[in-house]
Amino acid sequence: MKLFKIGYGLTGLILLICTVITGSYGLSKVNQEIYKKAISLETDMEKMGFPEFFLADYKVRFYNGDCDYVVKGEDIVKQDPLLDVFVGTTIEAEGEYQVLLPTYEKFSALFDLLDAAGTVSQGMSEGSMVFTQNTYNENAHAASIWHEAFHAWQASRWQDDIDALMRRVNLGEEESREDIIVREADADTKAAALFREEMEFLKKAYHEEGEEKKEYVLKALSLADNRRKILSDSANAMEFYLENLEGSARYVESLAYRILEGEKAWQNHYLGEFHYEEGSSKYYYMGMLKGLLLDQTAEGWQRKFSLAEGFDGLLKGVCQEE
Amino acid sequence: MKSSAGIIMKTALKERMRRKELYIIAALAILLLFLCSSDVTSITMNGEAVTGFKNMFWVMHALVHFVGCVLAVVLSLHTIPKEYERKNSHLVWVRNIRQEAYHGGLALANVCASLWAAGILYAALAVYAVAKGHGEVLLPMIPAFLILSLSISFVSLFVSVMSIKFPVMAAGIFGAAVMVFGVFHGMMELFKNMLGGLGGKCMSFFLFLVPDLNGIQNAAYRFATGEGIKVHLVFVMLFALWMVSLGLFVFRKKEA
Repeated sequence: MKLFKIGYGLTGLILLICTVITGSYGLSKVNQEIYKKAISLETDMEKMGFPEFFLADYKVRFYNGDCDYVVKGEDIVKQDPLLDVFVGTTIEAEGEYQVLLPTYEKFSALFDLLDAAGTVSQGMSEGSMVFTQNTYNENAHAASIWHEAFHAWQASRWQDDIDALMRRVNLGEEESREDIIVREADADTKAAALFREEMEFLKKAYHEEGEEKKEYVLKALSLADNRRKILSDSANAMEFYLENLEGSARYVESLAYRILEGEKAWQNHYLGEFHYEEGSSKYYYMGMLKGLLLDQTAEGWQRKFSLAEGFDGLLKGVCQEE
Repeated sequence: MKSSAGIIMKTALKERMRRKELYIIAALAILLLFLCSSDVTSITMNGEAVTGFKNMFWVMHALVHFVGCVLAVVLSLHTIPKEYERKNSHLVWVRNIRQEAYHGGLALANVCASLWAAGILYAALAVYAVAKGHGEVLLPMIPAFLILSLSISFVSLFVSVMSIKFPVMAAGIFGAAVMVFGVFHGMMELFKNMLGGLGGKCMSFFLFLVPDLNGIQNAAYRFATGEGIKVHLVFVMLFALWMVSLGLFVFRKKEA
């Protein structure tokens, strides 16, 4: 009996040691690599030309369900969770804008649950997701860091403009931006038809050259003007917000992904077929596409990009100048 | 002690064989097999029908694990209380067998019966794989079942230990709660984040105590499909089993 007790106790001790030894502590290597990968794009992304936009300027918070690992450069600090929710966003903390997103492991695990709950399709229609469980990888996570970092850059430059825009939207307490879009933009069949038409012209313009490209862009912009006349001011403000703020962040994200995963994967995920869906996703797509069109027509447009005129103002300027 | 626990386990297992539980499990396995082999399934995910071997295999693997855990609760809940109810325990005490050996033997019988049940369901899954022309998963499914069995054993052992100390109803509730927390560990983590405050803290504590049974299920699935697994999860489960087995020494019946 004594021997049994010793053996039993020893077994427990060995199992405890094995459990401790095989466990991973702190921010996992995968996330550290993802951060390094994102930072390694700095030189390429700097060439895009958004003034003073450097990922290294922003702290990145990886939330693992229990705590945040705050990363900046080589430093990793464990902190109490700022939001305690699984979300990718920009957040104001310690007197600066920071990037917050779940750890890669948590995000991947969440896909199972979100998939089961139908939230992936909802996320895709809201524009927050362009990947499915099978296609989301570490490079996509690194690109997401760039997306959120760009929001931090936007907020640090344009917070007053953003606040003014959101005052025009005038969201109710229980309302989300999706509600405004679905209720005021998607429900209007004429506006929806105009949106589809505008997208068709923009896509054609993307594949054309020279004067034809400009013609298609101008046609698209004139349709956008018509839409604005139909929609309410709050819907217009919400659309402007989504197209210019989220669309430009999607543009930045897609370029980061393009460098990491290559042309083919980039085209598959970001330039696939356009389907009109209720919700915000179409504005992410449209904004990104307008950014890509500006890449083709107005080198260095990023230095002039502002909320005063948005993508449409820049494109109009480029296409109307002779 | 070892031999007396072994004899008790064998006797308890033989009794199981005489009962009709096996038929119910076999029926479940056939139902599962029927569901798997049917081309038209009603399983949908993300609003789309789940089709294709890999998707179906993943869904069925999770299902086998869940049903296996439920069966582990059902099969383990009454064994020890019934022994005392029938006064079989007196026959054991007169032979001067220690309580932990007696309870240990019965708990082991529960674990074996639960694994037997899960094994039948897993075999049905293997039949499906072969029928669909994916015989390559057959061999890895054997060690994969060993990984999965850690989770089933945990549930069975936990319920057995609880049934020593608590009434059947309470032990069943505890067992079901632990099973649900373990099987839906990831989902519970999400829920915890939504709750926040004191509720979230309590949930965090439970999630810390209950091992991630779904993680083990996923590890078994990954092993069966030729992907890598995290050995840490396996050690966590083995340590959790060891911790629960301490209950066999700590919890005692007054009757003895």
